[in-house]
Amino acid sequence: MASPEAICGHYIEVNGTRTFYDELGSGQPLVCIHTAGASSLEYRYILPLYAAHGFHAYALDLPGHSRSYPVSWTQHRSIHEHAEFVHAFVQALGLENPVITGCSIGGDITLDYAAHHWSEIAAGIAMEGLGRSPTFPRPSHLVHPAWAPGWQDMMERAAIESLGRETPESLRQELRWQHRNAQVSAVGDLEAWAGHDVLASLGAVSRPLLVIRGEDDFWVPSELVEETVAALPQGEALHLPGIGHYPMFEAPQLIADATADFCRRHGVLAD
Amino acid sequence: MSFLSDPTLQQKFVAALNANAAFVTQTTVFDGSIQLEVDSDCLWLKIYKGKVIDHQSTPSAFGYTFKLCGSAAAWKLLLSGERTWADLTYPGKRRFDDDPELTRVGEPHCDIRIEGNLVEAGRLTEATFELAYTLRAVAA
Repeated sequence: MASPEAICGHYIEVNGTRTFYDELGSGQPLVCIHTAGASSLEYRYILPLYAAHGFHAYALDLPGHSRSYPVSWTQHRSIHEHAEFVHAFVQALGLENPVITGCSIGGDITLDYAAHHWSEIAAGIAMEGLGRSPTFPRPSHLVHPAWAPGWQDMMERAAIESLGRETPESLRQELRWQHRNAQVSAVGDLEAWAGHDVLASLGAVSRPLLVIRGEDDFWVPSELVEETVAALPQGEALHLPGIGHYPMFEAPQLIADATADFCRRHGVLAD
Repeated sequence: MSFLSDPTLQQKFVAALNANAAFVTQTTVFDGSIQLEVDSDCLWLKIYKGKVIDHQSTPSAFGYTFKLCGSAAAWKLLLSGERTWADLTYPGKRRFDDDPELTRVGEPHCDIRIEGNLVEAGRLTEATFELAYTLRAVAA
């Protein structure tokens, strides 16, 4: 199996902005979308495991995050903007029938992508994502440091406190550093999360969608996961005990296996 | 009377805060006061340059910079380890045992509220997390 050091980084122009992505493997295209204020580094442990299952995995930095510049020097403030950017990224790479997966805002983006482009995907895996996610107020007031000088700490604590309860300290520190590169874009990400609602559009999604939730994640109510799955014609829920808001980072083998199993059951990935 | 009214716990708590290197670092550039409220019980902490230099169990004539307030039931969720400080203090309704029809999705509910000078409270975010978990450790 490939190691995380075999992951290859690239740049591509998408919607006029320099966009970074990691790549590993060959086979069924799989596009991976990170959480609010983070980057493709969240997928560094799982990309080799995806590749071993027969996925050609691509993990991008969303605009304004880490190594990707924002579009027109402005952060995205809606999930739909992010989803349309990911769609443009898929088109720029020429990927056909990819599986789309993402976590947190990435999970919301997966569902928005499915709602608007379901015929162009093979399947979706939404981790900690919802059909609607107003689980906190819009944080627009946090965008200027003079208004909220503690914003960096607030966001980093929001991330590490929602990890699984038994997550080792080393992973907590790593995740905290992963959230130190996109303070401005993170406000837009969280505004996007709070305003996201594609619930009414999910009934048209004629593709298999798996919604994964870690039971230690207090940001994503199980009731809203069930609401999301109920709205999807081919929806399925997977609730994971002992896992928090970052399943692919906390339990990469478990998530890679669950993703591959779901795709095989639905004929997306060959046995 | 809640756990907060216990003078022995108050002394231990203040000593533990002053022995907490992260709390000391995070309050090094602070001259103000934080008030804790558990139901009707109160603990006022005067903090100057990284040290708790005074405390009292009644509101101070000087007021407070910001306060952390909630019911005894909410604070118990912190002390028991059942909920994290972020979960208890970041607004938003995320539990629906009392609302199976999901009619209250989107409400700005908060179990433990932060009130007063929110710019200073925001600047002391990390210190406040240290304070909360120090209290949990002392009260255990």
